[in-house]
Amino acid sequence: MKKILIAVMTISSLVSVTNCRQDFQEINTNPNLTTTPTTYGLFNSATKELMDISRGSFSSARMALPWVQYSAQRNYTEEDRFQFREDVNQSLFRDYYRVALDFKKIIEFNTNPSTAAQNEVYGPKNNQIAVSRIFLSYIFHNLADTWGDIPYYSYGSKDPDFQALNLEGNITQPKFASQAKVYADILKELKEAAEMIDTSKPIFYKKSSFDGENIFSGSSSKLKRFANSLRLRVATRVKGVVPGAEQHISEAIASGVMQSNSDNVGVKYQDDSVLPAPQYSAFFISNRTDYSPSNTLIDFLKGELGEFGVDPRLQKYAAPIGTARNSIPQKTYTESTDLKKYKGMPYGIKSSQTASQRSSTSLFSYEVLRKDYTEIFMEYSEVCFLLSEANGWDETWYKKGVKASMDKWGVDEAKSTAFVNSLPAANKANVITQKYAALFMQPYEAWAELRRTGYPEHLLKVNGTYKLNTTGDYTFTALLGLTDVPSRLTYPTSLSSLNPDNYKAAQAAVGGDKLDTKLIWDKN
Amino acid sequence: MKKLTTSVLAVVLTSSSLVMVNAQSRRDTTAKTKDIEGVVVTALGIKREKKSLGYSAQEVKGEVISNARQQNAVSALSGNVAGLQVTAPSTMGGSARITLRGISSVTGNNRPLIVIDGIPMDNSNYNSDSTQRGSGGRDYGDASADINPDDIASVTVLKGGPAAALYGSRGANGVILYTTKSASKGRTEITYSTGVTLESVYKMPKLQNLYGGGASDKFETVDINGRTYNIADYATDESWGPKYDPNLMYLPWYAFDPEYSSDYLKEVPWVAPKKDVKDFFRMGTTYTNNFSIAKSFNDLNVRLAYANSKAEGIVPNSNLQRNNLSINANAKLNDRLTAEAFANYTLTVGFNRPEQGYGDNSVSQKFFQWGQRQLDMSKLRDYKLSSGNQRSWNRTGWNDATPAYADNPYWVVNENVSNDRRSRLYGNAGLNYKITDKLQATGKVYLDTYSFYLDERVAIGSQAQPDFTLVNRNFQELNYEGRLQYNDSWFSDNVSVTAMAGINRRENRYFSNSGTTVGGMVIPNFYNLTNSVEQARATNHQERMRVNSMFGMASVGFRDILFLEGTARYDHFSTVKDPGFYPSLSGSFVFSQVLKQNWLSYGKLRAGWSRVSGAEGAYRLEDYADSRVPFNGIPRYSFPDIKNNENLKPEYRTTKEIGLETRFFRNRLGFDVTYYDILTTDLITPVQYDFSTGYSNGKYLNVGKMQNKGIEASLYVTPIKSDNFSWDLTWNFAKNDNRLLELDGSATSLLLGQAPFRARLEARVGERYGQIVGTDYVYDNKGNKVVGSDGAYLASDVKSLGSIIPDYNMGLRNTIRFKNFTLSALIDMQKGGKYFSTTHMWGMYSGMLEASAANGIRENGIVLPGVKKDGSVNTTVLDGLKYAQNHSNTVDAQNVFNADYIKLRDLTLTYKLPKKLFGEVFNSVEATAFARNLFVWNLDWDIDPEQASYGSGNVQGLEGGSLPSTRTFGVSLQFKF
Repeated sequence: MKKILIAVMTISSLVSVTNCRQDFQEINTNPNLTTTPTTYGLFNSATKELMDISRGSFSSARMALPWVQYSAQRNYTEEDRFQFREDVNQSLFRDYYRVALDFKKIIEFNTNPSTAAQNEVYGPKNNQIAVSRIFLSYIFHNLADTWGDIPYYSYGSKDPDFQALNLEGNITQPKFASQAKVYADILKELKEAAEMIDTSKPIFYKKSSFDGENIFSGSSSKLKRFANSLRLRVATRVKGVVPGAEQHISEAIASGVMQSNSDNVGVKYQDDSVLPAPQYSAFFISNRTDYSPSNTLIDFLKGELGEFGVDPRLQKYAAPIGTARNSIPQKTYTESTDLKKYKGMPYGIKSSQTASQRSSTSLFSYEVLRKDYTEIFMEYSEVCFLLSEANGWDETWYKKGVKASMDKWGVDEAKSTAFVNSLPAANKANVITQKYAALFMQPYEAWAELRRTGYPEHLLKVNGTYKLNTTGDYTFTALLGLTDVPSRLTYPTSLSSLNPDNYKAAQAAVGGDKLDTKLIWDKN
Repeated sequence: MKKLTTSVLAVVLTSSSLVMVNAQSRRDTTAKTKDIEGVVVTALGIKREKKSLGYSAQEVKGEVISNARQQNAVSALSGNVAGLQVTAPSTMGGSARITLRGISSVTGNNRPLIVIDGIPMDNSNYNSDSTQRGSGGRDYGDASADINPDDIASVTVLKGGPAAALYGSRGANGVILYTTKSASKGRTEITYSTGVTLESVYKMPKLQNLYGGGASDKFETVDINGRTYNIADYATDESWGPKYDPNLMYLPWYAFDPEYSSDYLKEVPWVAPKKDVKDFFRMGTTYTNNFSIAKSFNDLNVRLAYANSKAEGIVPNSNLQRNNLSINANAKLNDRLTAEAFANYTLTVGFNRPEQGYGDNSVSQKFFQWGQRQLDMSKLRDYKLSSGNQRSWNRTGWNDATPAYADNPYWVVNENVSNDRRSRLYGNAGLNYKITDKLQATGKVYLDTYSFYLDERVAIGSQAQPDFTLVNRNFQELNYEGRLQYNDSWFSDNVSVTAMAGINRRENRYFSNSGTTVGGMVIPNFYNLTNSVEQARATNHQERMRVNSMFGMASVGFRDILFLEGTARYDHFSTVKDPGFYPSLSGSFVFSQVLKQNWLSYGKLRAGWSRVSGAEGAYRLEDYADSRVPFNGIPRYSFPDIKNNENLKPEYRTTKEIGLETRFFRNRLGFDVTYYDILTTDLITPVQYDFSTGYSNGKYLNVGKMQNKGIEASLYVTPIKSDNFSWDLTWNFAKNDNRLLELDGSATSLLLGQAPFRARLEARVGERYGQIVGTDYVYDNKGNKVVGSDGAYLASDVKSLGSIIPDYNMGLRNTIRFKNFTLSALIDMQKGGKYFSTTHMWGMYSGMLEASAANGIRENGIVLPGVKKDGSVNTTVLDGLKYAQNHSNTVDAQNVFNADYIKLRDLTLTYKLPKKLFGEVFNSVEATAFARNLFVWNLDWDIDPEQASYGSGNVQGLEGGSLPSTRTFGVSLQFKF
């Protein structure tokens, strides 16, 4: 009897243990992460990350920043001479899409019936969708400007060639859309997005303890002007190439572009060491002094190169020679009016030449390396130059552009007025060269404009010679067999295994996956 | 020899496991067989007669593990088990990658389950992703390092498939069963052993000794106090500087501190260092002590053991200590009821385990990849000023002491230290009740729990931002198990029957808390989160998982000739929707019982089949957004770059195996050979897609098939056997052929890991797992390397450069006994497999390695062997600098090496002192002298391939900056009272 009892007890305990399944749902509930993030939180993350991934010490300062000769490396100069690192190229390409996904998620949370109602609490549906479309357009125009044909996503178009960001639709190997289609659709997206903005309401509502967003300070009118300005930029890039671009230019202007520096759109970083600006991080968190303003930039600002006089932005871009590194973030150094105190790092020298050159060069200024630097998506001065171009190299907009740039950088009023009054006449060369001066630290836009227009002319050409900071000259020898600044980046090589057929098709479609293959708007 | 019956009885009484031996005493004719084959611990601790097994289960004696004084009971198995591959660097306390029968899961766990006395041991490896892919980090080893090798009585390796099917999903990669020592009935034994081990640097990259640091072959000059001096290019951390010349005077990096007045502004000749890299490393030492008491009372057997070890690594200021305390007891409460318990407490304390890979605190990166060759360790040793500021050789300028890239290596090891401490308890307790003579019930609880504290420090004054980061991890696993066993024999003992059924609930809980300073630290040498410049950041993480299981087995034997066995297990997981069901079937035919030939001592043919699945981690069914710290006062969220999948199900592994075991000529010769075929289907894989999907790491899918086919063979020979002299030879061989058959329809490859700069590790369809992928040489159709117009090798498109998985492994152990002496040597060999070396890439680029200065290439250039595009022999002279620097941006295959090796893995000489020497005090005294990794042959390059991995996960073979390999020597003494 006893034996049977034990056997029964054993079996019943067996059953009771295995039947406790009702807890499984609870056990597998993730206590660490959420499935329903707020859309303003996605927006805040994505806008910051967009800057982080494209304006850092590698994504910018070992790519476009030196290529447009804003900077030059103080050691190990291969990247300056166009031998970029494939892993940096790949990260830049990959991260644009990664960030784009978060913008697209904002749209999804607003359009999916199961989450749309909840998201109305965070902000008006249409404004949330519009702001996402605008930033998606920003990302895709940067992608197209950099690589050419790209996998593309459009909120408003069902074109079968637009296959990016659609894993939900099981598209694992997206087609690359042609540049013509991409630019045309970006212009259409920007137009439609601007039209869907309800300017009487903010983009995200203010919360009791914090704002919904602070890039537009709650002003959806500012967002609308950003959309139109971006449309003006993109349309100008592709005018005469993509049909309808001219009409977009006039429509965008008519719909209202940026009107002052207070319309500038950018990400202002925190004035602390927690989330400071990317360039501050490179110099003072990573503690590296890898690059300086380039010699051609400094000499241009000093009036020794090009058609312009001494530019008072010199002191705002660079620190005088001998400035202690650590005095820069607090600006405990003083600017100097002595031009000899400013010298750039020779751009395009060999690594073996750097030791003799780097000791007496300027570092970047406080204005560039401050913790709370504002990385710019687009600003008023650029709009002025675009308006000058749209109006036949108009003199007034040209001068306004220079003035706006100087104001933004904090140039003394008297100095900026004097410089503006002494400007040489507006023409293509002068307007674009001043635009180059204003686009400082926005290297990808400056690189695109250099390719589109061929200006500024004062940049050191491949195989050109220039003076060393010590005695003698050097010759800028490019690597990778290039004879000019790269016309684009090659596609990340890993696409050859991730998306082989479309990768091959795109390589052929752009006219060869080479650094000197020109994009459709690169006509100079 | 004792008859099996009695020995089995002893096992029954003293083991912590249950015995199911059937029909063991019936026929005299079988006695011989039983002696030979004996009893082996199998799945769930069930002891079985070996002849009845239809699968491969290889046993290793405890002495094999403890004799060579290995500190790690897992890596000690290397070369001793066919089909078990261990990759264990000789770094103090480093991770041991262990696989059985190759790799079956693309991204999942491929390591076997480790079980000690029935307790499933957590074997987590907490090394960061960065550490594992060679991008920099400290190797904290595996959690299984907590096992004390001296407590191990024996090890059984269940190589997977039917042998391990009773473990369900956890046994999918095989199981290593450790059985600890316990007291034997009727004996009292006190054992004390002590040992010391010395460790010295063995293999490391050869460095050039002709040129010093800098990027230019000329010195810069500088005027100081009206005098002109030559100065080196301190800021450039490479060695393309001027050629050494004893008449060339310059100001060294240490000439600028007035505090060091004898060096201040004193010029020295430009020559190679007297104290070079090798002098940085010290002689490592390990002291071990073991003490155990085993005592048997009437119905109670108890064993107590204490062990400690203290190791000082070859990197200065690093050490590792371990303390083990264990108790093992079993009691017969009455005729039917027995109770048993086992508990082990281990405290592992590491201090400053060295960083490896491409990291700020990795001294290897500084010594072999980026540095200046003229640096003398005797000068670097003075790394700090009285102000506390660092003296780095890598000054930003002669008048600016800020480190440009690199910290002084002595600063690194003395100031940027780490601490780790794992406090662990594992044990079991249970009752066994004999309901009838044929039926018994068992209930047991198994516990494994630990807390693991870790902190890492970057001191104020380092090149990197000062930092203090700590993490506390808590792990707990409980298993509750109930079982019923039934043994019987039918038809006048012609048929034996064994059956078992049981249930198990497993509860896993894990939580971790971590904190880190933000924006640097305020007060030097004050390591607390409150010392953070900005507000310190805290994070926490929790995981929970439950598995409910039912399992059973039945075995039928016919006249000790034929055996048939079936097992089944059903697991219900909290983490996936579908439960898993795992059946197995195996059988054996003892043909020697039928043939009855004198020359054939034993012969068995066996075959088995099983279908098991691997399980999945928690929280994989939904898409979760990461939350990030608020930016400008607004919260931040972002979706990760991998997409989850709510329809995930477990992946399945189907194993078929067939084997032959034989013994000939009174057991003087024998072999055991197994052929297996493992097909994994429904692989859970984060299938990688084009980045433009937005999910750059893809999506988790049940896709793909992978196949492992292989042969395991063991050969046993005893050429000489007499009372005073014997020679035993054991040879283990394993060859595994792995192929990834398919992924998701369109996908052809999957990224496993990215080396820090170039090359990556991929799983590629149609190829062996773990392909190093990068650019290759361009070959013409005759197989010559093609050079371009500048005389440099042309690079191909990105392609597979070879797999990290070797073609085969083998181990050969010779044991010779002469009177009281025993000499044993293990030769361990690996053939095939590749690794990618970032050290070679940057070491060439920066002019550090011997080859960057050999044969006058810096002066005369180099003509590379190869052909021009037109097929004619290359005659173009390539600049030496360009040749060396091309290692970092053209042909990645230049940095890929074969992972072949032949090692004299261990050599031990044991002397059993004659009793007359020590009289009655001791029962026995043994002295052992041993050496490990005494010699390595057949290396493709200077780095030992075992040093080229930094974790025990799937990312292997991406060398990013490895410490030198070491050879060790030692002696130990064992006293038995």
